Amino acid sequence: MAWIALSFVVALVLDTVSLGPVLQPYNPPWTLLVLIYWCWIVPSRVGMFTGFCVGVMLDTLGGGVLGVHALGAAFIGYLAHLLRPVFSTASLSQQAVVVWGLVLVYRAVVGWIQGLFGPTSLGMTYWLSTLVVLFAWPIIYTLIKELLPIKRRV
Amino acid sequence: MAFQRSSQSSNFAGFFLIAMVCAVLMFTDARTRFLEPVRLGLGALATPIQFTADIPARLGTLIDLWLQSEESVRAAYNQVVDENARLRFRLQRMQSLEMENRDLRRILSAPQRGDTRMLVGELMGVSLDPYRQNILVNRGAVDGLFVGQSVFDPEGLLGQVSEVMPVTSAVTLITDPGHALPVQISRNGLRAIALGTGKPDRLRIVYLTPNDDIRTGDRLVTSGLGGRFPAGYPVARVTEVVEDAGEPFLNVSATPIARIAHNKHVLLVWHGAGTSRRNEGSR
Repeated sequence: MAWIALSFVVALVLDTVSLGPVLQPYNPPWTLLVLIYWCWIVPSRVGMFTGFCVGVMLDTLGGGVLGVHALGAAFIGYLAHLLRPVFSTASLSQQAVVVWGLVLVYRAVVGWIQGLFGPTSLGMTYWLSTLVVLFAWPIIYTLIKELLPIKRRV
Repeated sequence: MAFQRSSQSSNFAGFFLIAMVCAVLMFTDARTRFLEPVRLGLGALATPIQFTADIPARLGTLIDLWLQSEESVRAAYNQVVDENARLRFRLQRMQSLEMENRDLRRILSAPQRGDTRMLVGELMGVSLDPYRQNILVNRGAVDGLFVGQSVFDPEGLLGQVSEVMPVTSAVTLITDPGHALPVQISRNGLRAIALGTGKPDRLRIVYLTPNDDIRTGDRLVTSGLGGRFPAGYPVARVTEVVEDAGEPFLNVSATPIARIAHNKHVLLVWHGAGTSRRNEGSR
């Protein structure tokens, strides 16, 4: 449990690190990827409720309306549980594509809700920058798997 | 564990419940101020994360400083001393003008201008939401900051405080797509509204008709309408005025005067608490 919490804290820090205005959109959504990873590895402990909690933290760190990222991340937790059978049979690259889809859904939900609370300027980079997930997923998957002593449970 | 197991399993009812909670959270947070203490508490949790994420940027400035030659530091120091002397001289004149202004206002029995107090804050090298125009400063509730407070840089208006955490605060810039600011053309006093566009170097000035007197190069200052920002501070310079025959309003663009990317220091300003009270008294 402590390892899971630690991985979320590290992911939140990585999400918050400043890379400069040009590179910033291409910082992968680390917290979301870690959430999806744990949803798949330890589904009994991590799911939409965890998603809600880290989403609230993302809202606080982002300085936006409370609940927006929380809903998005909870939805991803829910979807990741539904997609668990797909994950267990897919190769790493196939998984990356599924994760990319999940991140797109997350961006769509968050972008739409933010639009309800005021004008937003979500250009092409908002959608195209999600492609970075295709590279980030194998990295994060291998990293957590090698570093953290938590085995897959159902 | 039983609670967790049931709350984490993927049943739609559970998700629906969480979604409802989120909806209530969102509307309470966006429309009321009830959640400010909650945000403060969450901010306390977020603070260590923000400070950890700031470390690389901080190291960067340290290394930058370390690599600078002694001559360049000395030159910069001399420049600062020079500028300080000049500014202090101007301040002397300012003080006498302020006194004169107060006397004239008293003669006209016009409401007195309130005093302003300010605090210098530092930008933190932390990314909030890359798709919004906001920044984090290293001042918070312990310094007495409040939501809606005006934030300046040495050149002009930067934005307003949008979220106060214990020792940090989020500042929404005037270029945020959700930000609207009442402005005035300093040349002729014409009032307008400056909307953020999401681009750091562009504001949109809306609701000006082709009959209105606005030109490229005009300086826009805060009008103080709405009472949120103090009046008369530089905001932007008009860069483009386009008249489209089919449109009822002019298409006006402006560039913010504040240099968001260049200045690490910001000024947090308290203004007019005295003014409004005196205003009410005089009515």
